[in-house]
Amino acid sequence: MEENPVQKLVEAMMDADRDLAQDVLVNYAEKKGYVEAASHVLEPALFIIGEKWESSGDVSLAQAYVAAKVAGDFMTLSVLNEPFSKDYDDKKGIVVIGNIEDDYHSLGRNMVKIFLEKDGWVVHDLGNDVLASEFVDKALEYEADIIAVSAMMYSTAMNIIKVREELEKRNLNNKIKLVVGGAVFKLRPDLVEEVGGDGTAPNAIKAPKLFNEIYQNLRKKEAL
Amino acid sequence: MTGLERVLSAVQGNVPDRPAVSMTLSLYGAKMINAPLKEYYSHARLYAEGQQAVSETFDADILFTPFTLASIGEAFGSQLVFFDTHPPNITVPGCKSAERVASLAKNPLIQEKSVHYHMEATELMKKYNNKKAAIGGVFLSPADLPAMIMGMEGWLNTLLFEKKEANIILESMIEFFVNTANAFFQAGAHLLVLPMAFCNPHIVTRSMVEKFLIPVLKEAFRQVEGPIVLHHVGLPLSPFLEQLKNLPNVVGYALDRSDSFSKARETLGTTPVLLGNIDGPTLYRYSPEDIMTRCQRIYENRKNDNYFILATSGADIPLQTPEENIHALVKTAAAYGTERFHEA
Repeated sequence: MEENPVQKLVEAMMDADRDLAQDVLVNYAEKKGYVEAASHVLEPALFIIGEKWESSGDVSLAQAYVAAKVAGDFMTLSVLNEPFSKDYDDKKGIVVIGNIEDDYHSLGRNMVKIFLEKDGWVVHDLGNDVLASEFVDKALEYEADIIAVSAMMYSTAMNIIKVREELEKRNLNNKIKLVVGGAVFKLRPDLVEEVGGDGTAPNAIKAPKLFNEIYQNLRKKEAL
Repeated sequence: MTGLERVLSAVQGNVPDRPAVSMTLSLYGAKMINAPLKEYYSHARLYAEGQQAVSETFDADILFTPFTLASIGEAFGSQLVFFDTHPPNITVPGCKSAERVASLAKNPLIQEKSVHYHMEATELMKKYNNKKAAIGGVFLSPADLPAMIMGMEGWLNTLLFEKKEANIILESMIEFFVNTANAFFQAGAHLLVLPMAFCNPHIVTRSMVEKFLIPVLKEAFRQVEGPIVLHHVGLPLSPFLEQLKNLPNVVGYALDRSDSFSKARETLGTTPVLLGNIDGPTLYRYSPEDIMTRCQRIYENRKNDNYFILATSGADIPLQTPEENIHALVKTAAAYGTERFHEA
């Protein structure tokens, strides 16, 4: 009996085998199309890995990094093979993302960016060492719904407070939401509230779920 | 007893006059001598003077050489940035290709340049060390050094997808590591402190650790001419103590604030020294009384454990931490920690 492609993909990602993971996806896509492969194989596999990462801690950064690379590779292939795929035209919201002032640890941010783009978000990456005022200026320029700020260390995470202060100063608290992330928030969950974050995802794979919830809430409030 | 003797007591399981305390005050030394951080982290003399002030003010049992290794990256072409409140960091990694990393790592001039500041600081710390504190030379294992040279993502990418290149890099790192580790001891360090990130299953897979990285560490550590303490570097150490427990020359493990001493003991056995685990980066938030209470709880947990050193976990104790909060650690050790031995 043929092995379940979702299970096969999960195993390949957990073995950090990028080539095998890509083969699983491409084989499926060649039979049933890239959109089908994304929604019936890649999405469920990422969901399983995201759950494992959150609940058991049995997923390492390396495995999640492989998952991000596989998702990124597959997005590129999908666009080349099915450029008008509905999956990728169906944009969800706009986000500006960056590492906070004094923070240069871009790995987590890069992973979140891949998963958000795969989910249909328009992501404007501001890079490392971004000042609070720049986050807000760019969010206004790009009409962003969410500012996503990453920090790896406790000392730099405290600079995120300045983004919240900047949003407050410009009376944007209800218009633009502040999502925070990075290793330090996983180790110190209280820090999310302390720096003024509206939310954090347990890991990069689960970032789209959080962003979609926040986006829906924003739209509901606008509609009222 | 001197700080060094107290630390040795813990290593040997003996009873000291008061238990040793390990406080990560590498950064804090700059505050003690009112030095701008860029100067402090560039001039070894200033660093050593700062540590001397730490030793005199806080009766520190262990002094650390600079708890920042960004200058290693700098020698390999990385760009550094200095901050007003914390140690320097790398903004743009210097090397991308394995061949370049390996060839630079084998170059004695690059090796010397990359740790020149650290070695000079160690020598001066030894010279100024009139209270005879233990000196902990802070360096990185061969598994972590490449991240400082190629960036974390560059090294992870190589480890995952370019195994041949990763092997070339690791091989070159063994020689670089052994030369530098032994130079730390020759310069005056009494022990080597190694923050361990790239062997942690939170970062890489268990299989990569066991098959790929541990053999490299074994090969490197057996050539080190002094004791090694493995540091948790901000992530719990418990999940991979099993893999780390039989490495040559390792005498101690500095645990994260979330690690369990009991579980660590179960895995490691009776004798390696456990250090921990009051949170250093948030020490400024509490009153000295709160800190003493927290430290007492830790001593209660380690009541019959002679192979234990109360230590701050995490990164450096921040500059905004009041001096009274730091004094609270040694005060607790002097009162409660000593009493604990008498009760036992």
